[in-house]
Amino acid sequence: MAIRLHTVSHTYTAINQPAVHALKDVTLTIDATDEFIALVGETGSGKSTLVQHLNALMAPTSGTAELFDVTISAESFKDKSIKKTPIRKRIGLVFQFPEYQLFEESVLKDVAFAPKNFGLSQADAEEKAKHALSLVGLDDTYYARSPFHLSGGEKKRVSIAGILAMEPDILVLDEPTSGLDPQSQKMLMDVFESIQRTTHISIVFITHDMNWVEAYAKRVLVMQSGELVFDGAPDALFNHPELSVWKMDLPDRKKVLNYLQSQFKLQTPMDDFTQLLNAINGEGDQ
Amino acid sequence: MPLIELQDVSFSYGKTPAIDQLSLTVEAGEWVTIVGPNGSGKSTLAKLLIGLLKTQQGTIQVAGETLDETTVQGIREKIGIIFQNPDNQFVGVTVKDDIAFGLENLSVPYEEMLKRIDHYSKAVGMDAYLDKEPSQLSGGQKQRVAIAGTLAMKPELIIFDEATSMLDPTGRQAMLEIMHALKASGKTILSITHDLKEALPADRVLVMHEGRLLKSGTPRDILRDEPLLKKARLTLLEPFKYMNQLAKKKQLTDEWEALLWQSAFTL
Ligand SMILES: Nc1ncnc2c1ncn2[C@@H]1O[C@H](COP(=O)(O)OP(=O)(O)OP(=O)(O)O)[C@@H](O)[C@H]1O
Ligand SMILES: Nc1ncnc2c1ncn2[C@@H]1O[C@H](COP(=O)(O)OP(=O)(O)OP(=O)(O)O)[C@@H](O)[C@H]1O
Ligand SMILES: [Mg+2]
Ligand SMILES: [Mg+2]
Repeated sequence: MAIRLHTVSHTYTAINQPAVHALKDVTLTIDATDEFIALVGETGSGKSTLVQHLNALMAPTSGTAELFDVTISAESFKDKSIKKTPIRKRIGLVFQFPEYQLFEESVLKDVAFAPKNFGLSQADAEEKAKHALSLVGLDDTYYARSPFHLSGGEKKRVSIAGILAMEPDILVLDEPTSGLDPQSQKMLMDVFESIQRTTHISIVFITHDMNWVEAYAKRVLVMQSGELVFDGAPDALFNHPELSVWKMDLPDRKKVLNYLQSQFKLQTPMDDFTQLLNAINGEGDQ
Repeated sequence: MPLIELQDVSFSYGKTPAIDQLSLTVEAGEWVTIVGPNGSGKSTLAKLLIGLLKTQQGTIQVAGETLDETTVQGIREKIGIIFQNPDNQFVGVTVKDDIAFGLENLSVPYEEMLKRIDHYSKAVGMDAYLDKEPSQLSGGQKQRVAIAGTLAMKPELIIFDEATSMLDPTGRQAMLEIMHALKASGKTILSITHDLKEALPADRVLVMHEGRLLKSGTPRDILRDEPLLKKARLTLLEPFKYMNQLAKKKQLTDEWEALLWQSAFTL
């Protein structure tokens, strides 16, 4: 087990503000290899807070987060002898807003920063950075540009490349597809999948788009008001009676096929359009 | 007279133009969705319209007035924009201050101001967060607050620059309903998005590509045009895949077309 959250709660406190219980007793394990997990849940349900506990950016208010061989708790987080940097290299997190992550003067430097920081030579770090940039669809014309003077989707790509270049053991992505054009969304999900398949690392991604959950995730976690309310297979989620209570919906394919099926008063659920056509024409509908 | 008219507008940040000799018009009361690849100039167009960037060539007219230093202030009062990154929007210490700030600038009377803060924070489901600092909100909550702040100013034209990209399915649906209500009350909507579902209810869809207009058409024209969508790095929505599948087999009857079009609205 690479990651083990045990009854993790997180409460945000600020002067003159009521406490916000963003995570409530979340218990969860994530394997070191071969996981492909979608994390979903309504706005403000605690997804971004949760993933910041997966790489020691945040400490639980109560409970513990075991991250490989380090245990993070409210107390141990303050212990200077427990180094967080190695954890953050092994468990790479891409933020929801790329602006929080970008800081260097050029795109290439920004992406090469982490590999360099973790001990690679300048040349090797740049090699890794160039490869990562090509994976996210940015060519050499971007290398010298400022990461701040880019379009929204281009910034997002740079922030993703920055973590890919680190080659983490576990990749955690907070809404990696938001802000990308549809073909790039698919291209990047394919990149993540291919990395997962060839290197067997585990991947966790947050999304509001059920199409990606259906197409890529092997396991899905649902958050609601700070609680983990579902942990299971995507299919089980889409058939779950509480789906709409959790403010989630179905993938497009299912929505459209369900609508057509009801229009034709067909009994059995359809998996694809061809099957639906056959059923309407009286073929293969037992 | 169109509400917006661009004539031969160009703008570049560096060598390559981000907007390249673009001409287009938007009528008052129209709902226009703008789509296109990353970096195709959508946000740049939005910033040119509110005078945040200055055209380097060509002219922009809003309600018959040419946009320049002397008119920019007045024109900005007619246009509300929700930026792609909501963090670029916030000026107030709290959510409430933030919504109030825009209204104070418009000299809205105090009583009316409170009413609007109440109304619009409820409309986006953020009324319980009025005393929070914007920086303490989740991504989707920030987007909702940004939307409330802009709508509260009751602008004639509202530009949504990917304003729903981080909303959950229910929130996105609620935002579409708000857009329908805006349209019904005669407002003009320019909505930039990567989600083709948001193009369905529009009057017109503009497809941007490398700073130019690749095509302007009704949702019915655009959403089925596979080669066009491919060029604009978009993907066919499920029902239109089926439509094209039937059309290829010469089986696309009027009934099927109507039914599949209907089914798209369940998305
Ligand atoms: N820095 C903070 N201080 C106080 N409260 C916070 C802070 N960050 C987040 N919150 C609150 O904690 C809750 C969970 O926020 P979080 O960002 O984890 O949600 P999320 O599931 O990622 O939502 P979204 O889908 O909108 O990004 C929200 O109610 C939010 O308002
Ligand atoms: N501040 C800036 N400085 C320099 N170049 C910029 C700046 N902002 C955008 N650009 C460039 O201008 C072009 C158009 O960018 P724009 O932000 O208008 O694209 P967009 O269509 O909104 O893309 P996205 O879908 O990614 O938001 C891109 O090539 C981008 O790299
Ligand atoms: Mg979040
Ligand atoms: Mg943009």
